[in-house]
Amino acid sequence: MHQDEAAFRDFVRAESTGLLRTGWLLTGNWSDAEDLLQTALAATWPRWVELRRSDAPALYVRKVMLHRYLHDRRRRWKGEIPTDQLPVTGGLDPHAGTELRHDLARALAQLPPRQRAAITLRYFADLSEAQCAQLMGCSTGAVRSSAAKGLRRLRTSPLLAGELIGDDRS
Amino acid sequence: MNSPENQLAQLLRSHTPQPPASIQPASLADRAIIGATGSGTAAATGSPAVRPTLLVLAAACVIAIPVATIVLSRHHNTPVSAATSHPTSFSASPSISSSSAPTSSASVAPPPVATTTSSPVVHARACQPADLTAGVIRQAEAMEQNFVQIRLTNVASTPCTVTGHPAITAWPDHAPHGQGPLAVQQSAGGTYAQVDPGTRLVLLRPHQTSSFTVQTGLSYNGGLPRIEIHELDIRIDGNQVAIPVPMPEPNGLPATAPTGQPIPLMVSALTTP
Repeated sequence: MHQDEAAFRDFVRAESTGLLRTGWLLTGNWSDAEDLLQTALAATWPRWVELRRSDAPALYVRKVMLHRYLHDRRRRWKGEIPTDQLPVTGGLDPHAGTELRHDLARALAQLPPRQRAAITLRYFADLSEAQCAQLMGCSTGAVRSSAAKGLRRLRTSPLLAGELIGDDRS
Repeated sequence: MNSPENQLAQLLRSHTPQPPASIQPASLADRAIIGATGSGTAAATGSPAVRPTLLVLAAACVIAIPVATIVLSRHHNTPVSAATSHPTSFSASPSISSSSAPTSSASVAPPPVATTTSSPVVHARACQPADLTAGVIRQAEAMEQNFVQIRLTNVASTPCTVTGHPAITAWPDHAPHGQGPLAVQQSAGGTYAQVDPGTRLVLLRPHQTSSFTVQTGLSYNGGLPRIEIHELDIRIDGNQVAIPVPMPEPNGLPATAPTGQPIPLMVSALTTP
């Protein structure tokens, strides 16, 4: 196997889990997450030699994923209608983790795409505002604004009641 | 107290699920390489620098057509392109098998020159069970080897890929099953009629097909009961959802096994028919 191809395969093997989880946070399902990542990898391979030299192939993959997610004209933002039924809290619940995961997915689905992207990149992928701005094709101020608005909506979402109650002053 | 930002980060990292096992990094890499370069592996091209190669071809094609033909032949005789820029190079069911030699006539035009973007990409995901229909296309018996050849057809509107040796569950009856599945021991291998080509990524455009064989032995005759398999459930690419395949009637797929032992099944990898 050619050295470049081997390195690319190693990269995919090492990074695909994190990138797929990023895709899941953006889209809410594995099928679309795989679609985003596959498209990005297909765009990455022809440029692999130069990307590897720049030591930032993962950022490029994320950039392509973001671009497709934000600019896919076929995708319509389907804001979910919140349910009247609040999640059951308190007491021992063996499925509490799973239920919270579902609630998290539903809460994220209610965010506009740019807020969802900013939340995912800043707080899951742990990227800086500058890196997020580069990936999203906007200013750092826009990233900060989108992330703040997204966080505010998540904090006030009944789906995540009691989960994000931290002290703003810390 | 932890800030909301930190809490959100912790929430996202701890409650974002892990990807399903059906999404394999190796398959992601395979499909990326197939889709981006138009050939099965970069080994065929030597490097991911396909664009410069196409530009050189474009410059040379007017005065050096034989050179372009030789280069095209080298590409076409290696794993088949999944890119739509090479439509005449595809067989009915292209695969990245090196044993398949898609027809390419001498009149095949040189590939379009890549301009500002990479070659057109056929984005192919892994086939899901709902994308496929399956059926027996051949059953034969010889030398105490019984086998069926099963064909999968992509009935979806988009291309998808299959790979590897399907996992098999054998039933003594048709669905709905009144009895439990038969105990089987599956191994990889071919038959006298179809050699096991080994694991490879097979691209199925809509209506294209791939096939594999399932062989049982009857070498245990000599008082052992003959078992009839009337349905095989197949699972591809690690999918948990099975595709049921009824066996030809009235006798199904015969098999025997030593008392108390699972039925040996030899399953070949998916390939082009």
